[in-house]
Amino acid sequence: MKKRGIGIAVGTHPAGLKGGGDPSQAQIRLKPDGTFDLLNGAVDIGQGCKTILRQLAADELDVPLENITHQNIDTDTGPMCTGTFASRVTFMDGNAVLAAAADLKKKIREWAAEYFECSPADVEVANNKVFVKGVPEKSLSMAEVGAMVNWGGKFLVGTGAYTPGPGQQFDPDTGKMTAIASLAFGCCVAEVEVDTETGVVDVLKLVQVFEVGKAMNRLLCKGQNNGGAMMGIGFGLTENVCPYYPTMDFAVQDLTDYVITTAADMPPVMVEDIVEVPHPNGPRGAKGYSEMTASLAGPAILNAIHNAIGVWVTDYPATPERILKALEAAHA
Amino acid sequence: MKDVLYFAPTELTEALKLLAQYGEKATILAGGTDLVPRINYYELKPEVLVYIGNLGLDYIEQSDGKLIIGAATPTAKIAASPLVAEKAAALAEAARLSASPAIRTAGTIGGNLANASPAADLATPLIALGATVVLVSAKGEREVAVEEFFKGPGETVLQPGELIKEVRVPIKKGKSVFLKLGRRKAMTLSVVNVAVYVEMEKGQRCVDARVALGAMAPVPLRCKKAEGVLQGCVLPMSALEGAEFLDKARIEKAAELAIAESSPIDDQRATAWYRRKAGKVLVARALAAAAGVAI
Repeated sequence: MKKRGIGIAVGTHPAGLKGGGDPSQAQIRLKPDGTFDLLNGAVDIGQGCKTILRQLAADELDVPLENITHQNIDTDTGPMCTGTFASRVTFMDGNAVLAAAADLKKKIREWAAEYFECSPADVEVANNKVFVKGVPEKSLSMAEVGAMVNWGGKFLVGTGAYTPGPGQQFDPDTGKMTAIASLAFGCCVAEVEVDTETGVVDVLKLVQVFEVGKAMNRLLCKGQNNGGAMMGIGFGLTENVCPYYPTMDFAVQDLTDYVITTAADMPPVMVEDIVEVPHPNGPRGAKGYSEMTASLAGPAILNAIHNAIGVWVTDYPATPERILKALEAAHA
Repeated sequence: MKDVLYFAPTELTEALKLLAQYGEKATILAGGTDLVPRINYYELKPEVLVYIGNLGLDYIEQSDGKLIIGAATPTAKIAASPLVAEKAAALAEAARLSASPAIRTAGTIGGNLANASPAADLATPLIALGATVVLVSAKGEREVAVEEFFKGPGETVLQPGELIKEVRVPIKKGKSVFLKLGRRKAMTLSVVNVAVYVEMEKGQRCVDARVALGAMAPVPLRCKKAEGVLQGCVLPMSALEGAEFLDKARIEKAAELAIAESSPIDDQRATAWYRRKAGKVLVARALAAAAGVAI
């Protein structure tokens, strides 16, 4: 018999290490053609940080996105970064990039104040130009500034760093600690159909909504949400390192037997959305949240299985075999 | 790795001469989807490879009341063939559900049989449909029923010097059904698969029933005891005379007998316990669909 059920899971996810002590650095330099090199240490593993860090630098410098080249290929020479993990890159590296861009802007203003013979406070960097406020004839394009600075024997480099705070200790008795950085929130609702004779589960519909502070790039959020859902369905139903834990029998040795989901396993209806409540310390209000996109589908699916068949399966993944065993135990 | 002698003959006689010359040293290469990974993992170190993809063995034809499928026909071609879909529905479905698009495009029907995996998706429908394989060598040709082709995991009746030329599937009046349980919905080996063939006289009396189970024994298994209890049974509302009623209880009895004939094992894909449970359900569902019985 086929039975349907609905399950809900909610979650929170911190950006970076909850206890702080998790810095990132960034560097931006002005090139002779008036474009910029942005250097940082966080690696783009597909989540799109090369795009959004350039977006933040371009926004702060008020120059076109395509004028920023991003470079993060070398941990020997790149600025320090603790890494791409724990949904920290947007928050930590984003803040570092904004600080570096602001620093470079200040240095461009100081250079231009000398050139225009005015106070740095009167120089504006905007719209890919450098000019004196209220004096239209005293204006240079960024390309002109880049050429004059670099061919004139100067090198303008902005640097920035960010850490949400020094490392915090747990209270060994209560486990309490000061939570640093940000917490994002999410909710997932899954509808499943369980074949009670074979234990096979079909996910019919999956809805995921995340509170992200401020979306830096809505399309990347969408990709993250749907990609995370795919991993979450695998977490809930198929991905199993030790299928017969606590024995190590048939422990998975390679990806041939580690069952990640395919496009065919995706539910016919997938809905994703975001809610934006700007975070006071986030770069332009953004939070990190991406890791949570893979965390919620699993528990939502297990709750939906319970709703469908009235029996709990509490081990991940809820394989057909585990579902049949749980049903038999309940009806024994 | 030591050098491998590689041949790609363009004539069948040439291929058979090479196979006769190198005997046990020769390994036949078709789509390579099973063979090449084993070579890459150093599980197999062939001395002589004979590629059979240029012998003109890629064809699907109808002749003499049979569907004739060349050994080097890719699984994708079988899955897409309207002729196979019409004359051997279970085979078309098994081809469609096997592996991934890339593997189906390269892998061949002959290779799927010669590899002799107990879980081979194309084996069970061929057994249920009563198909044969034509084996050729320099000495001549012989025809073997698919159900007698397998000897154990990775073992077949193929002799050194012999290759599969084609598969012959008798075109019959009945209905065939293939069902498969994997660990996900695509790109998955069978945890268990089932193929059945049922022929109903006037749509009411079972005059022929065949049941085959995959991944439930060392070889793809024909379940004759299960078939036996279906022969001659009539639908409950039938005016025809029959031994017994072909109803839900009878179909479940057949499914039980099929599972009793099997000998599944625990492995990384499932336990024997689960295979028996799910296998029984699949046999019953396949038989019900083929016979037109509601269960």
